[in-house]
Amino acid sequence: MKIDIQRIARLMSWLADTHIHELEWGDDRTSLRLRRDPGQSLRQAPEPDRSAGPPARAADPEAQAIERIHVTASAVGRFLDRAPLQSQALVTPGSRVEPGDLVGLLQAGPILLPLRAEVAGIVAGHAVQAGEAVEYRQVIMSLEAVAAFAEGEEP
Amino acid sequence: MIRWCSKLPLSSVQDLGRHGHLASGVGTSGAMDQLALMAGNLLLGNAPELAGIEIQMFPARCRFLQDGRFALTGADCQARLNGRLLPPWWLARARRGDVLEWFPPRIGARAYLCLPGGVDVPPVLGSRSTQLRGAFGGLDGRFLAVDDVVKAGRENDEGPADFGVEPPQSAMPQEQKGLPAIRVMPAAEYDAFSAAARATFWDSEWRLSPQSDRYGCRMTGPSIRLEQPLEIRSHGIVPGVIQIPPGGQPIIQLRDAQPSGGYPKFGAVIEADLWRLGQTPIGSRLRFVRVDYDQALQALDENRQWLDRLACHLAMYI
Repeated sequence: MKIDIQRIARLMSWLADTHIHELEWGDDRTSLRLRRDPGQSLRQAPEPDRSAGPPARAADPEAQAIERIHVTASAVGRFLDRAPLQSQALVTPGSRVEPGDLVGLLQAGPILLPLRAEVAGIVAGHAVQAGEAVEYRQVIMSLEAVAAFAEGEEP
Repeated sequence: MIRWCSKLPLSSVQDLGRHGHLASGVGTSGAMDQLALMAGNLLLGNAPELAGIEIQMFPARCRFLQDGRFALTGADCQARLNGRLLPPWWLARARRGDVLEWFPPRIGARAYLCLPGGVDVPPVLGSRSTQLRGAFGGLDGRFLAVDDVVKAGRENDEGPADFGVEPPQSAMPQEQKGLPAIRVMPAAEYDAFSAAARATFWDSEWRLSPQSDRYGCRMTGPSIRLEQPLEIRSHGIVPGVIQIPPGGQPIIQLRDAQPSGGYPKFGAVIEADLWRLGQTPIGSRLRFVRVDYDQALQALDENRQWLDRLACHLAMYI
C-alpha cells in the first residue's frame, strides 16, 4: 500500500479527535506509528531555574540568560552533521548559531531534511552521533539559548 | 524570472540535448551533468528533461525578479542567497530582489540552477539547449550575459522548499586505486593500438588538461601510440568518444562535440559516466576502467534507478 503524506495527515487529524494515544500499523514493507502529543510543546525547553541565583554566564559582562533548547528530528531518518561529501561539520559544540541556521541534516532515503536552530545560541552538545538513525522527535542536539536580559532586568 | 548579473562567460541554458540531427551536422549540446539537471528539475516538481542554467565560471550571480523556488544542483559552490549559505543540492525559496551567488566549487566543476517549470526559451529542433557552434537554441544561441532576463516556465510557483537530495557523487561513488574512475568501452580502432599502449591506457593515472571545455577534454598522461600509422576518413562521432591524435594524448568528445572527426577512436566513455567527467575539475586526476556493452547498459539503468527512487521519495514531499 502506498502511504502518502496527505493520508497520514488525515489519520493524524482523526487521531486527534479520539482518546487513542498511539496507533501503530504496518505490513511487510512499511510501518507507521502515530503518537499523540502528550500535551507538551514539541521543543519546550526546561525552565531555567532563576530562583537558584543567576546562571553561571550571568556573571559575564554581556549579562545573558541561559536556556537549553533541544533540536529534535522532524522525521525518521539518519542524522548527518554535515552535507554529504563535506569535510567540515556544520556545527560543533561551542559553535555560535543564529535563528534559522542549519545545524544538521536528516537523511530519509535520498532526501535531506534541514535541522535548523530556532533560537540564537551556542551548541552545547550532540545527543546522537553523525550517521545514527533517529526516531521522530528524538533529541539530536541541544543549544544554550543566548538571550540578552531586557533593560532594567540586569542582575 | 531572474536577471543574470555575472560578467563571466560560459553559463548557458541547457536541457538534455538536441537529438536526432547528427546527420545534418547538428551536435547534441545538452547539460554536461544530466543527473544534476534532472535532479534539480525533480526537486521542483518539473519534468526531468526541462532546461536549466549550467554555470561553468565562478563567481556567478543572479537576482530574482519575482518570488519563487529554485533548485541548486551539480558542483558544490557554497552558494549564498542574500549572503546566507545554502547546502548543496538544495531546493530553496527566493523573494523578489534576492541575490543568489555561486563561488568556485569545492566539489565538482559545473553548477545547475533550475527554475519552476524549467527555463522558458523557445525550443529549436526539439531542444532548449544552447548550440554554441551554430549560435542557436538556449538564450539567443549564446552564453548568458549581464542583464539577461531568464524566464521560468511557471510564473506563479507554490510548493514546499528547504530540503535537498543526496548528490550522486555520494550515493554512487566510483573509485579505482584511490582515484575517481570513469568507465570506458573499447571502440572501433582499439585493436590498432599496441598491447602495451592499451595496457598503459587502463593502468595509468590521467589528468584533465586545461584545454577542456564543453566541446571536449584533453587528458594528460603517458603517450598512447598506434601500432602503425593509420589514416581514416572523417566519420560520425558522439559525446564520450575517446580519440587519440598523433601526439598520443587522448581527447574525449563532450556535449558540444562536432558530429564528425577523423582521429582513431580508442574507446568511448559510457553515457552513464559522462556526468562524472562533466564534474571533473581541470587539473584533477582520474582512472579509466574497462567495461563491456552490457555493463554500460546496466550502468545507465543504475542512473535511471537513482532518479526513479529520487522521484518516488520526492512525491512524498512535493
